[in-house]
Amino acid sequence: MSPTNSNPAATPNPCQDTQGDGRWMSMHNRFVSGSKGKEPDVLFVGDSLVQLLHEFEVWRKLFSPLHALNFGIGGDATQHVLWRLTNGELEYISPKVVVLWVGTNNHGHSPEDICGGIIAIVHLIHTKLPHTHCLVLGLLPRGKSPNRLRERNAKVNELVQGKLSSLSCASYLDVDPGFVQSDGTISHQDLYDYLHLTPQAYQRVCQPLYTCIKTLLERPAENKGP
Amino acid sequence: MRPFGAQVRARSRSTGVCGRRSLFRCYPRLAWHVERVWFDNQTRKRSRSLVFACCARRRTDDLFERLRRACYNCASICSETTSLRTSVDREFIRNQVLTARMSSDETNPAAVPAPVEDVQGDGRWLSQHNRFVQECKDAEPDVLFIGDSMVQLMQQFEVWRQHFSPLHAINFGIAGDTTCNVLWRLHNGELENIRPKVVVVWVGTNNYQHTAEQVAGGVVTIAQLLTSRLPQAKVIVLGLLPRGEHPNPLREKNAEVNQFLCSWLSGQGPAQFLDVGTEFVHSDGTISPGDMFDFLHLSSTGYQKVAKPINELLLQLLEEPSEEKSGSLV
Repeated sequence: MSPTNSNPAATPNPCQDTQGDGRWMSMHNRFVSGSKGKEPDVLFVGDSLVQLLHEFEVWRKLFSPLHALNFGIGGDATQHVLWRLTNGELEYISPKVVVLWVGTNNHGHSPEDICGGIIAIVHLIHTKLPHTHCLVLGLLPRGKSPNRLRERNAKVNELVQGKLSSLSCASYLDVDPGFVQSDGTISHQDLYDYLHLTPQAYQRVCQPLYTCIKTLLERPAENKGP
Repeated sequence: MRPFGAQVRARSRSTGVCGRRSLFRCYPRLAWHVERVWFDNQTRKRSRSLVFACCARRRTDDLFERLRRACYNCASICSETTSLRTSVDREFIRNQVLTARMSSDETNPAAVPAPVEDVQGDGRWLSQHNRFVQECKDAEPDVLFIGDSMVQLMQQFEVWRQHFSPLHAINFGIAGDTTCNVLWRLHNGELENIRPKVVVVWVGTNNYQHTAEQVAGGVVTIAQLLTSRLPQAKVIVLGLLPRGEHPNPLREKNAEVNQFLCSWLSGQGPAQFLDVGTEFVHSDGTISPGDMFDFLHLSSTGYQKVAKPINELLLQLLEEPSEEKSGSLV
């Protein structure tokens, strides 16, 4: 794994406001200030796949009852999540489980670098919250037909799974229920734009995720150390 | 070169369909000078008012006078006029000229059709476009929604099933699209074989490289393309929503786009403007994440707020009998 300072995916970096309405920083600030006084047991952090989850019924049904917070921002790559977690989003809370789902937006980065970014986030979470378990979700396939991003995401998953197997503070979960059909295509009924999940697809992804989180929540507290 | 024009208002009981053709047939030499002719058909009380407006390429007194007379004579030829009056409505002319300028390819980059380049590497934009083209072969929608993520996301919420599926609506929204992308899609198959009665257009907030006037011109170009390809259809142009948690330049720009659209689409043509964004900015200038979860995209609550006026207008338009429209109209 390349050292942090030469891996752009593992170097904390805020998102630049190129559009002109400062939305990314607004959302980050809201997450920080909104977390004061809340005592979530579960924190979801990541990109649009996390963010959109909050907008559908499945969040209210499955995850609100678990006292979950959602710190997803659409478009985020690993370096953005790293910056956010370093700059206040973990300051006021100590969830038992952090669900991390990020990596698909790391365009231009190699699978090794993306894996490095994800692992850097896992280490950061463990440093700030030693008793928290980090659940890393596998990247979903994307695009209607086979393409290089599907291959990239699969490679990232393989590398991350390997790295996490030696850590006890974190684990990997593959949440793909089999979106790629036998002919290699993905249906728009599952990924309406061949990237983002429909409400029905979220149900399929979240049921096993919910079960896993519940199991983790019911475990006795984590020991110290990696 | 400042354009100018002449306008004739004629009260008549006919539809004056022949207006534009007669101008050029009767005055062929004038046709060369005339950049655009507008023909408007307004119904007031029990008689119709025909308005011809011409925009000439050069400004000379002689040309102006010839144009005015030509419009006057054409109005009297092609209609059973009860009274004729010529006037020069500078505001009207200026608006029409600006519309013509802003919606022509050569001057407005926001009106140039362009596909999205696949920079990420999974070809999703083209996949979505191709799926819409295929859908045109199978579906018989009464309502077509086209635009960017504001349109696309709507289909993922309950509000679509509740308010728009029952109206036989289809959704051709693609996140990130600009006016250029929507234009390209409409030119390349997304209008084939379908004859919706109403088209709802919602696009413009992603046109970061363009000025407010250019964006509005791009939206108007889309409306014009729709009315020319679907003469029976009515078009609803939705205003751009405010964005960002606090006041910012993009809010001002979107508001400016809406102002242009409101004034350009205020006539009685088949395209009309509907502002659905009036409820989102609170008195302290902020937008709530309860309405827009990322200060741009609508939440389920936000969609409920905009769906109501859209649904009401749709029901109204779907109940009106459709008529063949003639002339070039914004």
